[in-house]
Amino acid sequence: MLTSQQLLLTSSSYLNGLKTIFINTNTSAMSEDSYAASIDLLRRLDPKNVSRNLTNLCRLVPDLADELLSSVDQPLQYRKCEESGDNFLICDYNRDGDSYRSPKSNNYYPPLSGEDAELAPKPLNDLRELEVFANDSFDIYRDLYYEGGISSVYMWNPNDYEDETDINDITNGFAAAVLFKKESDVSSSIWDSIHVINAEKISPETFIYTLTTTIIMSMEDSDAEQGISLSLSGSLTRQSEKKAAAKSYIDHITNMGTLVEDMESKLRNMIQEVYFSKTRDVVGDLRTINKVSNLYNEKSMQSEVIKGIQGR
Amino acid sequence: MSEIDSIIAEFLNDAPAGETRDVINDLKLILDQTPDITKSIKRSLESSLVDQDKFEIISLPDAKKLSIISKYNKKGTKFYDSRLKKLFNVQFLDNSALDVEDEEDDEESTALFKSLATSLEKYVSEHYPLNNSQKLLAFDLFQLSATEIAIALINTKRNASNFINGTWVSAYKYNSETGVLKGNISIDVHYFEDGNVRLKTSKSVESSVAAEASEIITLIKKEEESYELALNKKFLKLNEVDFKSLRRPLPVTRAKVNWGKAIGNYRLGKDVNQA
Repeated sequence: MLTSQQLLLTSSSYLNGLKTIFINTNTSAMSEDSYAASIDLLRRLDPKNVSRNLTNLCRLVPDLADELLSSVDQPLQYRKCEESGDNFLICDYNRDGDSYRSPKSNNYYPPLSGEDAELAPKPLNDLRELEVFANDSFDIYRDLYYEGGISSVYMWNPNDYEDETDINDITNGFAAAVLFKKESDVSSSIWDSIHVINAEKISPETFIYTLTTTIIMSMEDSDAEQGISLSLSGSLTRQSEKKAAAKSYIDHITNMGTLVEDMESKLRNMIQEVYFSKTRDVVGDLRTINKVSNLYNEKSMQSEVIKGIQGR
Repeated sequence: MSEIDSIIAEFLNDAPAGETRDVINDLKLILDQTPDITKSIKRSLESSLVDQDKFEIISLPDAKKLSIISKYNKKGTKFYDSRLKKLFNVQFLDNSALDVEDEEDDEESTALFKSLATSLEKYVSEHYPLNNSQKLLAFDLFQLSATEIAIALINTKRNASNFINGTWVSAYKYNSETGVLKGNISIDVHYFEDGNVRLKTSKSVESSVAAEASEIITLIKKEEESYELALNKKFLKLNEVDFKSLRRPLPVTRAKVNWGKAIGNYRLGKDVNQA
């Protein structure tokens, strides 16, 4: 299994577009080209079919399957935490084999046994304390903005520890995935937010937080009576970063919280613009409801009016 | 068909309008070790246009108008353009035309066909604007049999600098014996700036109409206009109802979240309200 650091690297490599950072030093130039082409292909094909297209792509190039599966964002799925009874979101950051770690109980489901259970990453001490507080805080945020849905936060240490340094130590930094899923209760619309944050210490008590956010949204509105079918789906990805002081884990959550909140507000506006304005403008450009000749007349009339105003 | 062939066909079928060449380039890079990959891509492209309901725009050398490739204008091994009165072969891989030859008016062409051609041209010029270089428009009609005429129209917009492409396709068949116009209108829009957003929508049309060119074009106009108006309504509803039900622009308090130690107070407040 890939380590968390490798996952973070592949994730940011996807987001940087085709400028890929390879985790395997022996990856040949050939597979680097195929990887870039695979990412480009998934950027073009219908985002509604991303999971199916990704599976097919892995069949075509099995050598790239691990990299592709860990770097391409797909709609979030959830599992049930048997101990707390709550649902939690799953992603590559809380996965070990076929099991996923619940942020509530810190247990893997389905349960791991023997050596697998011992080797599976599990945050403890400071890192787990931060994770628990993050889950509580972002759950309140979820309630305020989403009024429903599920949220999960996972944390890990992205730094390379060859010595005996404790991986649960957060003094030099940490990484987090903050996830939200909301299924509309009035329609079949779905919203998934995937935030990956890297917090790095740059001076005593000052951290730089790097955020990469992908929001996946899909909507359908089909109407048998009118014979119309419509699907509007896709994802947008943006990055942001912030430098801020942090003396306690509460400061960390405040810094991460405001960063995520600002990014979600910005992306929500962007989604509204792209999904509902830009696409509709293109439709109106392809076929005009008014006669083209009328539109020209209107335009020339408008320019006459403007000339008239300017001439005054 | 092998597994690779069927995956290639599926990918090509999923390609946004105007981005087929980009998808082909990606597939060639991904499968550069696979023998006969070019052949497989070519087969898929040909089959989608000849056996299925796909349409493609093609430019004939020195022609002032663009032509259509579809199963409706396949004539023997070639394709036919009734407005240019030309027959041509197609190289599917790079979408180029070759072996273009003149073909005089089809003997089977009916009076209805001739008057429809005139009415269609006028209708297209009124509602499918072509006043900029980002657009490609092609339309044509084909006499399928003594009683059946197909009408096809494709209008595409490519705007790579704004990361958006779109296509409108209308395809109808009119049967003068049954008096039924049957067809499908489909729209595909792709936005791809640091993301991948896709609008895919279609409307099926089936209506009776007298065998008069003006009546048929009036019906097509009515169907296309009502589709566009219905889409505007759907967009409004998706934005104002569905989108709002996913995530609020701000919490009910109309203020951003007060992060930190006191964040738990929101929960206390909620419990008090519920009590």
